[in-house]
Amino acid sequence: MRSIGALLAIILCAAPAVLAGLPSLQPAWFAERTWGAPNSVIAMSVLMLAFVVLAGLFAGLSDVRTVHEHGGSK
Amino acid sequence: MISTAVICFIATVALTLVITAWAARRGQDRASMYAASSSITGGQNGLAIAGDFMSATTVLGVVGLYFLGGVDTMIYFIAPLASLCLILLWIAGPLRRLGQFTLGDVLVARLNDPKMRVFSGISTIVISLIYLVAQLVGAGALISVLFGLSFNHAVVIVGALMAIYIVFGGMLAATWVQIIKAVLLLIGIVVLAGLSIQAGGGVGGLYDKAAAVHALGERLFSFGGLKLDLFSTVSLAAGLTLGILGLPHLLIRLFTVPDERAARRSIVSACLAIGLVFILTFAVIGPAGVAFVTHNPAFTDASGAVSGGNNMVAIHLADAVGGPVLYGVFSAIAFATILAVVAGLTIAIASATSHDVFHAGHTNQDRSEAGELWLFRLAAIAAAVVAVLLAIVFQKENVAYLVALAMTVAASTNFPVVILSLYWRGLTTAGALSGGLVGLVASVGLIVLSPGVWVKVLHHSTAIFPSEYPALASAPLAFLVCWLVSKATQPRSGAAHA
Repeated sequence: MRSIGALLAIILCAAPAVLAGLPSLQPAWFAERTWGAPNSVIAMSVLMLAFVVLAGLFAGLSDVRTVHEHGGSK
Repeated sequence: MISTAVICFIATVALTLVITAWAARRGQDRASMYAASSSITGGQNGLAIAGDFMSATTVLGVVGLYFLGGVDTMIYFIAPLASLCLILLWIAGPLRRLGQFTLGDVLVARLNDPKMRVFSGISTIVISLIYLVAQLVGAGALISVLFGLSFNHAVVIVGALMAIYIVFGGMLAATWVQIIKAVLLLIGIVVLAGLSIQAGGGVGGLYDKAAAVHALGERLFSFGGLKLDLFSTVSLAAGLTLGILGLPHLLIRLFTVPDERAARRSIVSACLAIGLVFILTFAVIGPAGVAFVTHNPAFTDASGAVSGGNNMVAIHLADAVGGPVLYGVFSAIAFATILAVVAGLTIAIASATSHDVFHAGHTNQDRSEAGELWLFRLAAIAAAVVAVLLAIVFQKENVAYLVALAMTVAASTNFPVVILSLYWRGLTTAGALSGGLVGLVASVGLIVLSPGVWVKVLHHSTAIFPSEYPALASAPLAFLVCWLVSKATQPRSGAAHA
């Protein structure tokens, strides 16, 4: 669950960066207007909101044990 | 106009000094000065983390970047939020459980070698000092425009205030300065966004007006406005995300709460506060800055350049939609923003110096608490003096490069060592030290070889390293060296769990 959460956060962060670095990948409808605002602004605002929601969900996970608590090299 | 700003400026300084006096009476022991006696609640600490994180460059700088390149600035908003989620998943609980005052406590708990405390102390000082100089350079320029002071006077005032907060009030004073700043910033951003929507005739009107006046037109809302290549864009996102995971002044805030549950709650509260500010800044204030400042003769010259630079776009917007009163209030909020961040950075430097570098071989029991606290106060004063002098020397430098340098060093030095020490059983002291050192040298070296320094500062014709954002190269290199050296220095079977 923890690994899936981390992977999700990394993908959600990397995907728009890839789109910004390769703007030709951007779908044609992306910058069009919906409800008065461009889709790009709506999508990125929803993405930010998604991270806040994810943080709320992640807080409920029980805490992970580190190698210190299992022993490790010195 | 100036008088409103000056009144708000004086009120801000007075309020923060009252907080410092209150904090100084609450306690002067090591637990209080380093970690506010771990008495801060999760919600309060979340606001303090938001106050510590959202620097003037974060808030004002990204509005200025939006003014140039449009929605590409979303990288600066999304990467920190992703980073907070990763802190929550990987770092918050374990860090709080293993550490007491500094990152050095965590590394020594895992590797049980005083050299790790020295390494942690030095990396904390290097990262925080670079970040502090970047904040002071930005602050000096901003305050000189806002209040009509010279750059040197501005940075000396900020340096003196941050030393006073930490010497007399320690972490408790820094915490409450950060909480008040975060609350003021939240209120200011909500008011500014509301007035901007009203002045634009609704959200749709605001976007129409922005597209009509900006050189990019409707492409203001398409990706590609900042014209970064793929490597640079992804490396910028990686550097910001991983850099925040290694920023000492943010991570030590997790020691100010009583337990790991409160530490996790801190990050969720911080995410909520930062998310609200970021969404409103990205979706409303950025486009409103374009709509109301572009070609406005009150804020731009004949060539279209913004008075005071692009970092002033948000402040000019406050003037445009709220008049002199909002201008004054927002200027004071910007000033409070600077104070809160530099206070957090100073405490990170001072505690790393007194707790880690100068007492590396001591346990918490065999230290002289009074002596260590005197060293802490001296280190805070020394940090303020050195940072002010460096800010005056580097006042013409681009703040973005200094911030990128600090983030890249944190992503390549602290992050690999902290994360591997928590989760990889095979990490050895030699591996951690080698990886951290290689990360430090690689991150600083690649920044120097990048176009931003090699071409623009050192005036060579072409850069040796093609991107200005090298974290995507330097951080994996640090991980690789940690792994290789640890593998080569593994204790023989039977000693691994000693």
